[in-house]
Amino acid sequence: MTLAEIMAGLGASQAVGGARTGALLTETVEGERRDLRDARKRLEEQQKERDRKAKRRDKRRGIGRLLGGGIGFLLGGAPGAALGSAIGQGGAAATQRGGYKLDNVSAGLGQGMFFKGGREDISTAERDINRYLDDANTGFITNIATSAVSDYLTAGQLDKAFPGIRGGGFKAIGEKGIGFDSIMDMLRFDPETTGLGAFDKKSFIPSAIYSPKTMAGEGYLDFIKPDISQYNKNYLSVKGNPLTAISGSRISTSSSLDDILNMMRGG
Amino acid sequence: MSFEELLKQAGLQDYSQYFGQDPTDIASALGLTGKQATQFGQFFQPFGQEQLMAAQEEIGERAATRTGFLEGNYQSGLQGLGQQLGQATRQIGQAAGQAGFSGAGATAKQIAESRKVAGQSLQDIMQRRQEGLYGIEQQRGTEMAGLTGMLQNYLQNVFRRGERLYGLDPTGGTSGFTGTTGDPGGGGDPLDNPSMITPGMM
Repeated sequence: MTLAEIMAGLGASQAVGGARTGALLTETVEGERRDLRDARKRLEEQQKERDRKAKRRDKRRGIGRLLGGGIGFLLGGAPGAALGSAIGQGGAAATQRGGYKLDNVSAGLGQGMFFKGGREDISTAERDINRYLDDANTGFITNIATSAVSDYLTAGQLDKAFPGIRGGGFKAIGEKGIGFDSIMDMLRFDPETTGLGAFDKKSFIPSAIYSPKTMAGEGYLDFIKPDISQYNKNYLSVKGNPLTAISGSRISTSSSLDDILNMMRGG
Repeated sequence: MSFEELLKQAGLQDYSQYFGQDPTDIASALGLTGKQATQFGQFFQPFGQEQLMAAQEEIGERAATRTGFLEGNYQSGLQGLGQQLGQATRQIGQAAGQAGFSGAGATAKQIAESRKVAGQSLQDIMQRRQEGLYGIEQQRGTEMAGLTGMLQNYLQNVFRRGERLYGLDPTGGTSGFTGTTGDPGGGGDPLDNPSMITPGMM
């Protein structure tokens, strides 16, 4: 073999070998670049899907809370509202398709030879999203509990402000059984006991037109007037000597100072 | 001549580790270690040492052949010159015999002339031999430079590939690459937009 042939062979083998390994490198690099893009897209899609599910979950929880809390309140007052709210929300969550939990996302990115920084970015994003999802799941349970407590307090205030608003409650069911009529009875408030009858006295006028004083004068606020009759009876029935205001004690208007001191000493 | 000697002759003895026949060794020489070196070895084409040695051997043989031709021509030239000189001497001797004593002066002059011509011819032959040897050496150097060029080309390709690999942000291992400077290589940003999404789940 001549020198020219040997040199040509050597040059050709190097050139072809270099081209082959270069093509292999390009193929590997482009494949990994594609994998990274796919992983990022997959992560984004999963994140959007979890976002949609979180919104659906909250919507269902709201409906469950409203129904459960409302029915619970009608049946059992404030505790019933709390229990009903919790059950309603829990039920809504439990019956959600695919479960209430927001599953972790996965980029599905395997091992690779290149793009260390890009891979770390995706791993970090994956971890961040999963941490958010865990927080969201924990927050969801916490929200059920806190909203149940909140419903309890709200229902309690409602019950105090509008006594009798729950209507017949169980009583109506006991009398008529579970049916449309009994439920309507439950929902029907008694104007006399709730105080809401005050609104019946006059046609509804936006409160903005009326000052509190005017509204009170015209009877709009009758239902929130405190019942001070007992107070008057206990504390203001005897005028003059304030010591007589101590109800049920052995002190009377005729007691002397010595008697009072003796009583305070435990005598 | 061994391959190492050849590298030394080309002034590339410090880069002998890049001429390993195992691609993993080449990757290791570029600072890639362990499994990484094994994986990245596939992107390197080992240098054809055997072909280079064959080429180097061929160059030596070609030089030897040329030298042989030159020596042959030189010997022939010398031989021819000797024969010419002998023939001329004989002719002069015969002519002197015929002329007798009276022609002794002319004969001596002819002999001196013949010697002078022969001396010039010999000088020419020696000169041509020197020129021939010089030409053979020049040719051998040119051919060896071709080999050196191949070694240089290979090394440049290896370093360029190494730069490209490092530009692609390889995973695993640590870098100990101290290759050539210049072209930073391809690769660059692996993603068009590496910033990832910010989840707003809650």
